[in-house]
Amino acid sequence: MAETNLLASSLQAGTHPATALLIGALATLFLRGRYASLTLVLAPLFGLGCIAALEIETTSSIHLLGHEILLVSVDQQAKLFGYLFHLAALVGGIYSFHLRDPWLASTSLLYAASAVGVAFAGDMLSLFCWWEALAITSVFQIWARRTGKAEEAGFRYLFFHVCSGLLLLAGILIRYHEQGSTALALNSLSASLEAGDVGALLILLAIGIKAAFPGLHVWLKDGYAEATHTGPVWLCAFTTKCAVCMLARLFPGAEVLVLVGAVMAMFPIFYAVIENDLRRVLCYSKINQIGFMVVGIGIGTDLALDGAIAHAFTHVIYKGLLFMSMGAVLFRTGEIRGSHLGGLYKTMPWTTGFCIIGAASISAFPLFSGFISKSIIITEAARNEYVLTWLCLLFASAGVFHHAGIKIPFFAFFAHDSGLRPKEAPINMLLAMAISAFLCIFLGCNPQWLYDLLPNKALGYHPYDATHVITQLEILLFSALAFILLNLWGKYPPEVPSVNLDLDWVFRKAGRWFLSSGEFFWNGLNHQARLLLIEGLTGSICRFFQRAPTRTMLGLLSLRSLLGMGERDSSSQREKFAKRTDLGIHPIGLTALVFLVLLGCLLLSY
Amino acid sequence: MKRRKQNMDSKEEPRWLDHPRNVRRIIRGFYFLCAAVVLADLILGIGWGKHAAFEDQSFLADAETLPAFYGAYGFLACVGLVWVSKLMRSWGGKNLLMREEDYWDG
Repeated sequence: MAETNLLASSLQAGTHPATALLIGALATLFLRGRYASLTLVLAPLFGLGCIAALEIETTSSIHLLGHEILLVSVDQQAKLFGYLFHLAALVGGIYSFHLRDPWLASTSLLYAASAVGVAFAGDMLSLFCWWEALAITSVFQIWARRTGKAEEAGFRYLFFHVCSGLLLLAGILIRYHEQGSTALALNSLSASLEAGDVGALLILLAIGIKAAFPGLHVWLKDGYAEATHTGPVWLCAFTTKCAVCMLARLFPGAEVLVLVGAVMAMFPIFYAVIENDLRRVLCYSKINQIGFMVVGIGIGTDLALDGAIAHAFTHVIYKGLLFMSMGAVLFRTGEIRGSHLGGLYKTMPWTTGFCIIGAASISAFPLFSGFISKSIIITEAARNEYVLTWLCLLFASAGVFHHAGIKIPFFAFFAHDSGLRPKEAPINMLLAMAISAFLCIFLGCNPQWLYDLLPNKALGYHPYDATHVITQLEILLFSALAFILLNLWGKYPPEVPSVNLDLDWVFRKAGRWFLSSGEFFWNGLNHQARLLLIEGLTGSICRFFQRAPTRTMLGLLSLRSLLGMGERDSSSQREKFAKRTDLGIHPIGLTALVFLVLLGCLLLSY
Repeated sequence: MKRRKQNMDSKEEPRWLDHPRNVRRIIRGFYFLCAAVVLADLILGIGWGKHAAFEDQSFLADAETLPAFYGAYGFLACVGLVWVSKLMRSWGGKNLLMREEDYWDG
């Protein structure tokens, strides 16, 4: 208890909930080998203790350039996300334990710290700082793969996230300009958004990029698929969940989010069915699951908001588990394309089992974690008469089981035998997967543990009633039936080595057009400027000053003849004179004469 | 990273799932499971009454409580999903969204 009080009072004195992660990140830079990896595990563990000790309504602020920045504001939602991010960092740390890359370990902890910073941000300024940190620290999960494709994907990823930061800053500044310092508070902007406030719209767009709203989602499937085998485990836990956390804080009940969320839940599943890269399939299913959360936030009732937050919590765990299983496959086989995998259950039985648990969780099978959170959102959609949205969510539930629940484990571990016989995943990876798998089942069987952490305690919601369990089982089993029958009839699209054009076609084509047109215009301008200034004007000036002395002297010679001061010179004499002038070897008398003439001209001019 | 690729030679013991007979057994068991869930849905609806998802009296509210509504919806949704996805991949023999793997490498 004394320790708790000490931590709480240290927070009031300015200590941030992300301090353990930040210190860990700093320490990792100076450590090597297993010691650096050990920090990946110890820092989140200490951090979890700090979060547990935080008291609700505690705040911490600093003064900067005459402004008070509320760095930390603790409420139930922030605390829940604090637990979640530390838990994700702990699991990610164990999973990445075998890596011997202190820089990657350090940026991973900084990334987790930034996410904690976003969750606990007390005002817009502090949010912006952590938001930017989130963008910069996360890209190393992609670049660390050290391939040309990863480097390019990292830059594309960074482009979207820097845009998100700029939009957030623009939104904050517009609102600050209009309303003064009250606009910096992290209060709901739903009413402002519906009133057409541009600042609120820009802030929504900024969050929308990180939440992978339709059209702004391409960074997710692009970046995650090129990341290291451990990268998506970290990436899937923080960036999009920070966006969900901020949507729940800033835009609860914003009607537009119901539509956006329904589209998000629907469109990725079509892509997921025909996608060959299994990590990219998981990316599409991730957008689909975030769609459920966005719908919950858009509905905006206390229970729907709790459902969205609970779904974010369970999603981090089961999606992390699925990415971990695919990461293990990539690590052991060097392959992640469904067309080149299959039959791995023979030598990777534990990974297969953990993947199936993750698949059951994302599909929301009763007794698995997805069921206790997704059901809240679907129930609230029906209760609040969002009929079309309810149908979309039901469709998305069936679809996600189809592609993430069945396709991922089936094509990776079963299906046709690829002939690959890799070793089972390393022990640290198995341990991380086991922790996540345990949490998936534990939360699925004991929903009250999670519900008690929610801001409204899920208002006494009970997911396990007979109607709900049977109807959920029915929709899932008949989705599986469709998969089996379509496969048996040869109607299921086979896994073929290919890529599918998404909206990234627009961004990448537009980007290439921008680059080529920029290259044409600016390089053309540069070329013309060189022709005009370097080769043209500068050359002319040089030539002028090179020839000027001779021509002046020749002019003076002609003037002398005109004034009758001497005989008219022949052309050969003029040539000889010009040559002498060029070489500077005139007889002294002539030079003196010219000097006298010039001096006379000078005097006359005065 | 170790990678060992072996052909399916005679030294490797066939696994339980390698026998098509066992796969057929699993599929048959799965059909029974589907039938059992529909039966449970029917019994629940007749014996205890399912609680409706919707509170109003719309057409969907009535249909939603019918036995096997969710099963039929899930089945049709997945068939539709696969059909549309295949069209997205290629339409009328021409690739619509699908491209070669090295499409972006150029």
